[in-house]
Order: sequence, then structure tokens, then C-alpha cells
Amino acid sequence: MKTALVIVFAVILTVPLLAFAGPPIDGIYTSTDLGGQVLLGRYSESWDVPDGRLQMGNTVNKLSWDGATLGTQWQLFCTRIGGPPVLITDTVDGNGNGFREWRVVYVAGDLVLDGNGPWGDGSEAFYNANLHAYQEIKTFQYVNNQIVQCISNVSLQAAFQGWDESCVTISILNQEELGSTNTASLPADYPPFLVPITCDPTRTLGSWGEVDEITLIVSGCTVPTEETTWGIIKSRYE
Amino acid sequence: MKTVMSFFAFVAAACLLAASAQAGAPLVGTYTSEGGQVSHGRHTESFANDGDFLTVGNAINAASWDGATLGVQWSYSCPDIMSTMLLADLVNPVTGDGQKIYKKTFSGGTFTMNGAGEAWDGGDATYTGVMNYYSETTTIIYSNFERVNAVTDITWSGYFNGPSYPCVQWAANGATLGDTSDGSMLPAGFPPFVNPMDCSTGRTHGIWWQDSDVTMTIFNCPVPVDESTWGGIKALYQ
Repeated sequence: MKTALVIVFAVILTVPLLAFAGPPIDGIYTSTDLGGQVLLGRYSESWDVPDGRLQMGNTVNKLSWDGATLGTQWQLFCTRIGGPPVLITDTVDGNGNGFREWRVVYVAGDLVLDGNGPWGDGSEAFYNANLHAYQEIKTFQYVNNQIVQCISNVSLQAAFQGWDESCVTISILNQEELGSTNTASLPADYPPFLVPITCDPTRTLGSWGEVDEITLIVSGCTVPTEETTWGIIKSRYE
Repeated sequence: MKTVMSFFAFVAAACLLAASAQAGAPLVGTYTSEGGQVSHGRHTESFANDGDFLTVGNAINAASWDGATLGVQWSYSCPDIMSTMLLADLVNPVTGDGQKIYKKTFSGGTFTMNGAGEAWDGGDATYTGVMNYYSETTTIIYSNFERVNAVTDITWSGYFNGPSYPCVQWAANGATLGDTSDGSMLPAGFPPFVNPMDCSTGRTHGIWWQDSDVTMTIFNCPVPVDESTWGGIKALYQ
């Protein structure tokens, strides 16, 4: 009888702890190049056709990179261009020299944060958030009508699944293109090209690069102390 | 006859001088920080008063940073903000969390680049030039209506000082590191705040950034023919 009571008591104590284990911790997190703990990353953006930049359906796959392994701390994948990009700057002259900037809005996609990352207490394996806003300002540098570089500002907003609806994350980051299938093959250790919607890693065309200068904010996730739970326990054994 | 001989001697000398000067021009090519040819950097944006982020008259002062010393490889200064335009407002009006994206246009500016030993070394110890375009597209992240951080795409172009010297284009990413608006002081190791127009130091308010992902392209470009020079030469010997 005594043993049974101890077991019941232990279970009652443990269940609330599990129930309140681990929403992501509210805070501001920055990448290592800004003095923080968030890993830098690598990305790919798949195309459906050769030289298919800025096309609807192009699909992003970004993964953290610790120097050896992709995706151990964060993954942002399967957001795709959802409408025609908007040209916001065009300084390319008659000789084909200058810059073009595009605002590109994407749809769908997920952000997964490792539960042991700086936003986690280790009680959850990971946190999954659905993207509800993602866009890039893409800047192309042209010389003689050839693209010599593409850099981007990225902004995103996402809502964590399984937690209060106020539990969200927003982020900004930079990225730099390092290559494309126009001139080379996707190197090893870069995220594979994804098919839109299904997210299968079977596309073969696209571009790739690095992700840096990340600022990520988690907010609205703090769980208030549930005093009634302890009150119930106490009342049962008084 | 003597006059004619002198004229041809002068022209020959002028051609030799021009050829000599051309030999010192920076070498055409694309140079990147990723490839190790161009250093990352740091820049400041001065304010007239704290809180004047995005304000007309803010002045840029940028320099390469090798981890110990500013400006060893490159520097540029005094593009001044002429206008700012809000491209997107993604801030939640209730929580104050989200991003805003701005386009900033500038005017003015000069640049200096080390020559000796650099990948673009064409013979001159130092190269100087004039910026004829400078622009930033800046994405700012807010939490509870407070600016937390910002990333920016920097693009500029210009021409090197020198007869028939080439043009240059520059694209880089940036991220904020600090701001006097919160009471912080500009740390050592950053370019000083400068006044717009005359580029003198002395301003004490502003924001400081780190610059990364640099791609610099030096390319041949049409140079306006200075007809008065040849007219002057002809006039001397007519």
C-alpha cells in the first residue's frame, strides 16, 4: 500500500513537470559572427529550369553548419517563391554594368530549432514553427550583363506549434551566393535542392551559399507558474 | 618644320606618359572576401543627434578591418543619406514585433585602396577614386516597438582617379553592432563618426556596423573624352 502511494505521488509530481517542460525561452539570439551562440548556416535555392532565378516555386533550404554537419541546431526549409518578384532598384546601364534589387516574397515553409540550442532548456528535442512570413531583398551585381554576385537580406516570422499562439519567433539574416548550377554542381555539405510543396530533395538545379549575421527573437512563449497544480497536490495529501 | 617636330615629340611623350600611367591602373577582375582577396570591414553612420537612424545627412565612414587595424586595404567615406523610403512594414501593430525594410539613397563619397601586393595591384602603391552611386537596403528587426538590430545590403560604384583607369562596383552585407542612442560609446577599432559634406570628424552620435560578404569588381568602362585637352595641345602648336 505504501509503495503504491509512493508511486502515485511520484507520478502526480512528474506529470505536471512533463506538461510544462520546455517551450522555447524568450530572448534575443545572435549568430557567432555577432558574438552570440547561433550557428551560421548554408543554403540552397532550387530552380525548376536552368538559370531559373526569381521564378515562382523556387524553394529554399537553409541549415545550420557547425563546420562538419548540417542542420544540428536549426533548419529552415521548403519556403518557396509565391508570387512575381518586384524590382525595386535597377542601375544597370547600357554596358550591362550596375545593380538590380528585387523584393521576393515566399510562402509556406518550416523553421525547426534544436531543443538544446540557446533557446531551449533541453526538455524538448526540437521546436517546430510554421513560417507565416518570409521575404528576401536580393541584390544582383552585373558586369557586362553577367551576374557576378548575389547577396540578400532575409526576414522571417513564424509561429511555434504546440504552444500558445503568442509563442512566435522573428528573425533577420544575411546571405551570400557562392555558386549555381549555371557553372558548377552543388558541392557536398550544402543543403540539397528541394521540390516545392513535397519538399523532396530531388531537384537538381539551383544556387547555394552561406548564411550569416543572424538575429533571432523568441517571444510570447514564457509559461506562467501553475500554482493550482501544487495546490491540488497538497490538498490531496493534507 | 621645327614646330612640327616638336609637336610630334610632345605627342610621343604624352603617349609614353599615358602608357606609363596605364601600367599602374588597377587590374580588372572580380575580387571577393570569400576568396580571400578583399578584407571584411567596419563602418559607422553618423547622426546629428541620437535616434537619427535613417535621417537625411547621416554620413558613412568605412574601412577594412584585418582584426587589428582599420583601413590597411580599403576605405571609403562620406556618402551622405539623401532620402529614405519604407519598402515594407512587417511589424505587428499590437506586439511591436517584426521587421521594416528601408531603401536609403546617398550622394557623394570617395574611396582609397591599397595597391601594392593586392590582387588588383597594377603598379600604383595606392589608388583613389570617386563614388558616383551608393545605396543601402536595410532590414530592421523590432521587439516591442524597439529596434533590436539591422542587416543591410550595401552597393556602390565609382571610378578610379587616373587616365583611362577603370571603374569599380562593390556589394557587401552589413549588420549593426551598436548605437549611441542607448548610451553606448563608439568602441575603439571603428571608423570615427564624420560630418556630412566636408567629411571632418567630430560628430559623436551614430551607429556602427560590421561589413562582410564583399564582392568588388574592377572593370573597364567608357571614360568621357576630354576634348579640351587635345584642343589645348593643338592650339599650342598651331
